[in-house]
Amino acid sequence: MVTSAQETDFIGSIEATAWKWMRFSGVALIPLVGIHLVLLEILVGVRRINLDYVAMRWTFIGWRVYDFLLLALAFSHGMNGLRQVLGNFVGGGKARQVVNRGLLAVWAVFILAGSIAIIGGVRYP
Amino acid sequence: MFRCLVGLRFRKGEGRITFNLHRLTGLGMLSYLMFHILESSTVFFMPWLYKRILSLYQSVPFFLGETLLLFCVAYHGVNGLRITIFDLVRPDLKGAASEKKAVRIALVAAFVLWLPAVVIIGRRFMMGFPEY
Repeated sequence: MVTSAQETDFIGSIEATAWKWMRFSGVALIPLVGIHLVLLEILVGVRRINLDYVAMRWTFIGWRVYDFLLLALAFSHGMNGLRQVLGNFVGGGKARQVVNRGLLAVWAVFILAGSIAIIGGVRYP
Repeated sequence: MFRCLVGLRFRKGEGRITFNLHRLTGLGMLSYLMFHILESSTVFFMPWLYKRILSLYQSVPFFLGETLLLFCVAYHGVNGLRITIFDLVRPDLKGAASEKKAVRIALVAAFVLWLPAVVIIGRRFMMGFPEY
């Protein structure tokens, strides 16, 4: 995949950290997403979910921590993946920088919105 | 201009299909995840909207999307595990026959995980959403 000259640039770079991070977060996401899906798709059933269910679930702080981990790891893994895909399609330099900043902004907005909802909890209308 | 073609040709040979399928399933999940984060966040921001969004999940298009999403999760998870094993645990086996075999095992394993899941949620969908 990479020539030796590119390889020496790669080692110790921020891209190398991102590369490793994708593997670690990916492995962590397997049980996190697996349990999330078995619980909600099979044990509970997506059509039985409502505000009461979410409120009940979040009375236990452990589930809020679980949902936050899922949000942070899955969305960060996904956005970094999108950054890598776009990196192959968008030319380097300025355009790449604009794309990366845009992705960072989108990442921040979604993580913030999700975190506020997890901390704030269910508000009945 | 032709960068998009370069992107699709990024990996050559047999690995090309797996490489692009891994990306495609990842992007599929990411687009649902963005919807899912916003939809779930309405329990705090717009709780009156939450019930209405959830009723969407009872429609046929959403059910089909759900089965597609489950395939993305199964394939991306199994194939991601394969990538991680060959990158971090057994880099010595890279390019060996066992890696090529693992590519096929990942695809088969994804179907083995996906099919029972589709049967379970499909049966529930056919039952016509009884009031729980």
